Amino acid sequence: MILKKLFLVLCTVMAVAQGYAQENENEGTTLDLLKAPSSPASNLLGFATSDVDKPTDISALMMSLQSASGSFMRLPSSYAVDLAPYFLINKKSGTTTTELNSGKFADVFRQTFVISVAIRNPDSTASDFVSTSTYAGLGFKFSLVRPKYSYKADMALRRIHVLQKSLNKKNMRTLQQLETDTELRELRNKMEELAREAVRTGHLELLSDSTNEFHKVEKMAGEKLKEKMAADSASNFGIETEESKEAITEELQKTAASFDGTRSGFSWEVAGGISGEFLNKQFNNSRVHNAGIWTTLGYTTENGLAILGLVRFLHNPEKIFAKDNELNKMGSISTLDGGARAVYSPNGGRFNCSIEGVYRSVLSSNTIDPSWRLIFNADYSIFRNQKLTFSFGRNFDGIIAKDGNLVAALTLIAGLGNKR
Amino acid sequence: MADQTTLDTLYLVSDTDKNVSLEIIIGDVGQTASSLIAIDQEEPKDHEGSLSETPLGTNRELSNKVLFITTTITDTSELSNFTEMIIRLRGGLVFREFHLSKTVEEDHQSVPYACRIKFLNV
Repeated sequence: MILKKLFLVLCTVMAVAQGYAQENENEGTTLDLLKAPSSPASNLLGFATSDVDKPTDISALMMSLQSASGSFMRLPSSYAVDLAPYFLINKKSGTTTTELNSGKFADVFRQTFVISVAIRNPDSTASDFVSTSTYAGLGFKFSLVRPKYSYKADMALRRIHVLQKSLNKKNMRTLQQLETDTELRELRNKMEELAREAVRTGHLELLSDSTNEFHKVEKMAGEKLKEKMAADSASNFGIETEESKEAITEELQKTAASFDGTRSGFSWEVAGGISGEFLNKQFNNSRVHNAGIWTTLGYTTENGLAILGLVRFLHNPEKIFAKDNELNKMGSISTLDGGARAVYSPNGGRFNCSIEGVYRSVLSSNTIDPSWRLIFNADYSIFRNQKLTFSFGRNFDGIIAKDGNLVAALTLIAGLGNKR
Repeated sequence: MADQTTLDTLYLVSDTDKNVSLEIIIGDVGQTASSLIAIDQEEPKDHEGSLSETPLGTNRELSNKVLFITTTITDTSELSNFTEMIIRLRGGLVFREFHLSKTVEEDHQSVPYACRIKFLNV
């Protein structure tokens, strides 16, 4: 009896969780219609954004591949990955806020360039895909213009640099004063002797060998230097002046906490992708499944208002919105969308709202009339994991507020667990 | 990986007019850094962010001089508390690369790095 009750409670909790999750997912697809996908290939093959791996280094990429391919024993069956070459393999140009705020086209392009790869072997429950086929997609995304850090974020960065320079100057003074330190001089003389010996015997490679005597002395000298620098800082910590290292360090931490990384200004993104269907999972029998290219142009203001314009060409879109909003069962068809979106999302605020309009014309069919969609969305975060959302407008199929009244358009999205 | 924020070492040079270059790479993604670079008692130069490959002088000019670098990396990254400084020297007898790093315990803390590299003419 107890087990039965427990089972019923669990079922109820799971149903509620599923409902909330589903609601959240639906919200994601409808609210972000006017936005280039962050992962084009995965988007074309119907992957959820949360299912896309985004490795930040080679080790993470190898781990991801190993996991998806059963330790490299087979091709991944359902796998989507976004690769940002600049961050994945770059060890040359740096990735600090200084470089990430560059407005030069070459920097913006290489820092924002993402290659998106996806492979999917659908099962029989996937309604938009043929379960006997394998699908593979390849996409790209990059920015032509990237907004710079907002005025507030830029001011915080400038202050950080001023404080860092002040700290560097003090540390430089200490470092140069330690040239006369007898303990350090002994270790440095020993290093010089060992280096001359390595040159004399023609074994320069020993200088990089971690088991060699030179390396051990080099390590000892580094540790001794750290000890001496720390001793100087400790003596300095007693002085409670604005110029002391402690005061600078504290102000640095406070200033860094106020840096939120927000950006404002013009942005221009381009994304595109193509996916292929391999019939009967054979690589010599394939056809284009779908393809698309998007471009988004926009401006974001300091107070969180963003105006975005989008042009999108899709070949075989998942839905021909203009035809009663139904799934595309027609096969080869191309659509062109144009639209605009205004989003107000104040930094740190609980209230967000947006209005968007999209016009879809069907290029390769005379039987389907063009259509349009205009929708207003607003949400208010009661807590970080609880949102009240409101959505109202006309969809492509001409229906205004699907459920017929405004009350039904109000939705509460609540995350399970503690209120945060 | 153990924290290492100081470096005291040598870079071997010879009596040639070949340029020696310095490159400093700062990590992790999204951190904020400034460096002060000086050779012997010359006027130090400030630099923000990573330093791309920059010539310091010829082997002969740098002979037995000392390169001092003090860098502060502040944790402004939302993704990581890891700070890293990679120093690369080219143009002398051999290429050398030094890795220094430290993970801050609290968000937004700063890490001071100090390096002393003597250009030893052998």
